Amino acid sequence: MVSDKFTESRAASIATALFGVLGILLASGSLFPISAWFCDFACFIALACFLLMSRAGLGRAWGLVVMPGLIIVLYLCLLVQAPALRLALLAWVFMSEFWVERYSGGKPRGGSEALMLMAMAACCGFWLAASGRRSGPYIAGPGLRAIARFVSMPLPGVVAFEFIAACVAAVLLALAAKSVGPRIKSAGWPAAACGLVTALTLARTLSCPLPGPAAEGVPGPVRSCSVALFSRGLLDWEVPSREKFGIIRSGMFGLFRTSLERSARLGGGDVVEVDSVTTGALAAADLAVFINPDRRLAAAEQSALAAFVREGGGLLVLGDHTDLGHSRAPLNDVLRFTSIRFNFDSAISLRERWHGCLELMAHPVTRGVSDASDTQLGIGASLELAGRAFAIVEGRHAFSDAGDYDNRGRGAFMGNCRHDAGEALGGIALVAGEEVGSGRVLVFGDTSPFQNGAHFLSQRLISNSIGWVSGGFGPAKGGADVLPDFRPYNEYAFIDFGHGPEIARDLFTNRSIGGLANSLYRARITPVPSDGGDTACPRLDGAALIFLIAPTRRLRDDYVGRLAAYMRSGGHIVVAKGYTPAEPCRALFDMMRLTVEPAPLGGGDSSAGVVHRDAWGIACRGPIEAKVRARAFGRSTIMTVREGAGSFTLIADGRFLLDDNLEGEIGAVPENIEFLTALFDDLRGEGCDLARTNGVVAGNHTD
Amino acid sequence: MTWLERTASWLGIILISLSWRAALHLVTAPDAALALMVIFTGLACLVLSADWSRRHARSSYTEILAAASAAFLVSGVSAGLLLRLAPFIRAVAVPHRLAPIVEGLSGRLGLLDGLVTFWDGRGLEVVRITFEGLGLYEIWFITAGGAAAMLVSGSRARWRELAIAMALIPAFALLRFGVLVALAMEMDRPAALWHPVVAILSYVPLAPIAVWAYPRAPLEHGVSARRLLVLAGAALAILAGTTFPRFAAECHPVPARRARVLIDESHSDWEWAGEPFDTTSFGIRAEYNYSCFAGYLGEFCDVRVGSDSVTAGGLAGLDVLIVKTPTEAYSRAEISAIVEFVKGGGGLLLIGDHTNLFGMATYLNPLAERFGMRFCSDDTFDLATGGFSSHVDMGFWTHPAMRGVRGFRFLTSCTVEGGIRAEPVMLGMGLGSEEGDYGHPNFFGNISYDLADRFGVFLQAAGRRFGRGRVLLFTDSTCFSNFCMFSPATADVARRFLEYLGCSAQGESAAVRGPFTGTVLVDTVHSRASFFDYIGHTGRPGWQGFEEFFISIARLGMRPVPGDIAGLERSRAAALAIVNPRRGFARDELERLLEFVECGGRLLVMDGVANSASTANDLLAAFRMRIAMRPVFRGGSLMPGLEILGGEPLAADSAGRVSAAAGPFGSGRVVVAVDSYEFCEAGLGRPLGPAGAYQANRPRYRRLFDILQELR
Repeated sequence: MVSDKFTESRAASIATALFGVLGILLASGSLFPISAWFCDFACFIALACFLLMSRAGLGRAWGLVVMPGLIIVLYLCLLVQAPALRLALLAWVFMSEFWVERYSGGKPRGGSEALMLMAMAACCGFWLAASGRRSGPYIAGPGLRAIARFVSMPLPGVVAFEFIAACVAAVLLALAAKSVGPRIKSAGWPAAACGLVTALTLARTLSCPLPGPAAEGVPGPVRSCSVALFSRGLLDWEVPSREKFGIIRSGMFGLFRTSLERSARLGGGDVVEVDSVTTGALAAADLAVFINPDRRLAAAEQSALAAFVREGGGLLVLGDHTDLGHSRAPLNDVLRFTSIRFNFDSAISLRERWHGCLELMAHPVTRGVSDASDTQLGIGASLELAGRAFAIVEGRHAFSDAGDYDNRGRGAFMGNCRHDAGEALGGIALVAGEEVGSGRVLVFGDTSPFQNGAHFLSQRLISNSIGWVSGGFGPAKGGADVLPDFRPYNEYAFIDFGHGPEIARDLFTNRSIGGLANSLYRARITPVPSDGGDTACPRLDGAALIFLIAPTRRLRDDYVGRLAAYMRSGGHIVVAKGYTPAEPCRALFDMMRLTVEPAPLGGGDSSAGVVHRDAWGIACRGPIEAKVRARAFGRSTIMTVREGAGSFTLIADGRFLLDDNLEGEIGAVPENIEFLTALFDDLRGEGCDLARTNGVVAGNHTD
Repeated sequence: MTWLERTASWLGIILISLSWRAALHLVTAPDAALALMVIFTGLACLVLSADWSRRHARSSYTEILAAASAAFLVSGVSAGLLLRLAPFIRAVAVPHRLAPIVEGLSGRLGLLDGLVTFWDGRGLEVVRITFEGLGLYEIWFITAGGAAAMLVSGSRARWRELAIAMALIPAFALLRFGVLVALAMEMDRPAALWHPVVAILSYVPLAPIAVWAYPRAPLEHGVSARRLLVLAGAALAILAGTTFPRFAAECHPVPARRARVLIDESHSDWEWAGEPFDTTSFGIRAEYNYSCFAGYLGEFCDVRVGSDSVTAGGLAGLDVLIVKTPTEAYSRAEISAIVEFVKGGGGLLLIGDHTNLFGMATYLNPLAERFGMRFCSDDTFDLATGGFSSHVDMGFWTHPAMRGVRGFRFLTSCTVEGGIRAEPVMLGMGLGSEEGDYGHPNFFGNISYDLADRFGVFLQAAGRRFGRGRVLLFTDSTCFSNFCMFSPATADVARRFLEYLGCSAQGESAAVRGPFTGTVLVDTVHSRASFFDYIGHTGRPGWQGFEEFFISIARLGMRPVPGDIAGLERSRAAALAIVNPRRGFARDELERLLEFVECGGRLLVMDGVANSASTANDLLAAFRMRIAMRPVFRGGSLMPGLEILGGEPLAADSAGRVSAAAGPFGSGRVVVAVDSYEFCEAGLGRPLGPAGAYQANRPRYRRLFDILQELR
């Protein structure tokens, strides 16, 4: 039998090697945007190794090397995961309390912040009690993790990842504890149990974006509000029209302006364009909006604007990257009286489209905004903050790419889009706010969320922004599935995101539905993403249309019943779905006595006036009245069935409504857009009068 | 023993057992170096864990060796059983009723058809939970190896602890799967789920868990001789269990008379068998065409192509019915008639294709399901390379019907699912399988592994007895298309299918009775040319692509057979073609060729200017012919070119150089043609190329046909 000393030295060697590898891994986190959960996981294993090393007879010299190494690695880990380390735990708690108090009518709520604190305290206490004198490392692990999670939210990815990582870590920790020695042997299971409790609590808590303190109790009635819109700048007020196809060609800020006008009119206010900022021009306004101004403000104008805000007005400033259109100096003139400035740079995320790279602070502006898809931020300028200004959205895994005035024309003064020495990395302010006197200032370094193409995805952020900066303009309500207040058109259509649809919530990908949104805007209908699954659409009956696009999750019977009632009361449902997977819509199709045939037809046949990508045939079960709207490869592929006063349209092509089959950034399929426009007109107009069409199919319809 | 020693001991056993994961072609091609490395690491772990005190040093070697050998051998032997079971375990569907439970765990999660779906805020992520992903192969080896090591050890089993340890394995598998999926998504490297190194490393944490749950190590209490015997018995039983079905499968009836085969075309508008394949038929209908398949079967069977609906009367007297690529549904009466036909002793060959192309799976499955099997709507690819998959001959573990078949390449098959009674006639090893993408013109997916795909061992052809007859499902109709019917081993596979279904291929040894007038052996060893890269970008220069040349031989009624000079007698070829000879000819090869031509054989040698290191003249010297360089001035510059010296001129080019010549030698004839560039991909185009290529290259085709006529 080998001696204990030999065993321990072997353990030390293995642990040292593991520790080294993990150290490199964690240190490399400063270069790559590795996920928080992964970093935490590595952090736990590093601690377990350290524990093993400390028990394995390491000499003092080793200890001297290892201890600082451990601290450096953990510091790097925290730095990478939390560029907002400067806030520290206490500052965060203070901020949370501050917001709770400010936006909940002075009554502190038992919100998620408090729950987190309690969970952390309980875990730490339990650990302390369970592990006796050797409590340090046990507390360090979960404590460190909890702090890291605190300052690096929201949690990316799925709850399961967090859960798995924590479970593995807890088990490893328990095993390590068991091996370390008899004195703390009993700590193994409690440690594992605590790991589980911590994981469950924190995962459950942190995976939900913190609800903004103003989620409840904000005044319901529409407040009278007038908006002064600065008319000089890179502006385009067009809205999607039937003359122009392609998302880029469908205008820039027309939908934003239409939303403002509609909401202002509802409150008895108005939207007024101003080309010079004077006290008189702003006198009737509650909110001033500047978008990429191209004229510098005179000193008198700056003073008038400052006075307007100090007296309770709201100021919304939208700019873009790298002095685009020479707007940086005018923008900074507008912000002269604040502590916010536009930098001459582009804020670039380390991952595509900011996914997993954003840090959304708990603030009314981010209420109901859970990730990058809801912000639709693109490439914009970073903001320099000082004084009382605070970041609302930060680029956690992002860098500031310095602009280059030599890169003219289509280069738009952009830099090399690579991180160079001296450029800021992490903690890049993208959206910031400040309270000046009785008024508020809200600044976006990027105009993308307010542009027409992104509007249907970012309308929650826009709604929150206007609501906050104007001090409650509009009938703001909480909840993710309630209609946004600042929608351009009164009529709305729900697009179901709650049943796992095979569509993307981003623009310009191969699964995007920006083209469908554009088509709806053309028909003066506001598309509204609905996330709630079977509990979705609390205002189902008010919707003009409901879209179900390639759902992968089963529609529950009670939801199908609600859809049936919706149709009977005059609602229209459009389902785009192929044969596979068959399960999700089975109940709905059974109710409508329709079925999608199992033989794939593919795409390409445009003989019926529409172009399919992934068509399947439709067959009817029994005698029904149906209008065949399109046929391909000899089969019916689009069919409308009347149900009560409403209708059910089945597009047997799960990709028919995707951008590459309707309209993308530039390209378009005109026949499909025209088909949709005609379909909307038909459904909305005189109802779906099946009897008057040539496509009447009565009886047992089959092809 | 300390905790660490026990851990090392278990780690050693785990690694030694897992070496089979690297050594066998289950998920990826065998990697001997990795397997050896894993074995040595495992042995090192065992050495570290052993008791090296002076008293026991000698016995330690014996114990380590016994435990390691037991783990290695038993896990290896169990691989046969794994291969038998693996394709069928997959058929165990995840019940839909689990979906509400999974969805209840989180609003973002869903479960559908074995796919876990979750909404990550920007789109739908799909992960398929498969037994392979969960570690079926690795856990199988570890369990077998671990059990063997425990069996030979002298320690008494503690059943309660053992049960806990066994119960922990699925939990670990789930946890491991979750971590690997997370890693794969985080790093955007789906291969993390199947890569052999990752797979083996991911089981390292199992060692401390095993020690924790079952605090006894394999080497803790020496080796028990009695248990070694038990183990040997168990191994023998496993061996017999996996072997017996093989012998049983070999015993099938063979009719004494020439078999009668019907190819049903009444429900199929694809792979037309009734249309000609000759010097005037080109395009899709000529290439995706089964006339060569029917012609080849006609060499040993009476083959008929039927266009009437299937009835019991029509099937009477038949031995085999071939249902290929249906594009219409069979009626219930037809299906019943076919089932009765099989029950009564008939053979049924069902040929489908990838991704439910033209609804083939939809129309075949009502029939196939009557026999307990079904075609899936997927496509397959080689997991490691993303290329075409090939049939892997696993020797003893290969189904007897396919044993010895080497080099057969699929052109994207689907897979077959069936119960345990289905025989794995062709097992696809190391495959990826993905659902079709019906937005793609060919319905293929992206032909690379994603987290929504399957991987591992799949059935690419499966058969079973049914009543007195047999049924065989084959998953890649394209392999028997005219343009690749004569690729390596393809005709052999077709023949073996018929044999499996009860047809005798004795007729083949007699005079050829099919439509082919002879066999042309195309030398693939000496030729610097590719003949079988039909689809996809191969990366080789255009002047080396001779696929159209190869197929054109069949257009003239001769059967092209790939091979080399050594196979001349075996193939009973009437002619031999060598294109752009590059490799030198050995003396015995030259002697064999001389004898072949003297005895009446035909030899075609084609060469080109681009073949800079040609060995054509080494060969032609024996036949008193030669190819010489003869450049000409054209357009003010010197153009390189070749001319044939000797023999009787057959054709000349525009500069008056002899471009084709033939010379008698004994009873045979030697035909020489230059420049081969004219008949390569650049000159004739590729099979499945754009329509109208034939019209554009018509003169070249004519010249080629004239040359090939000389071989008849």
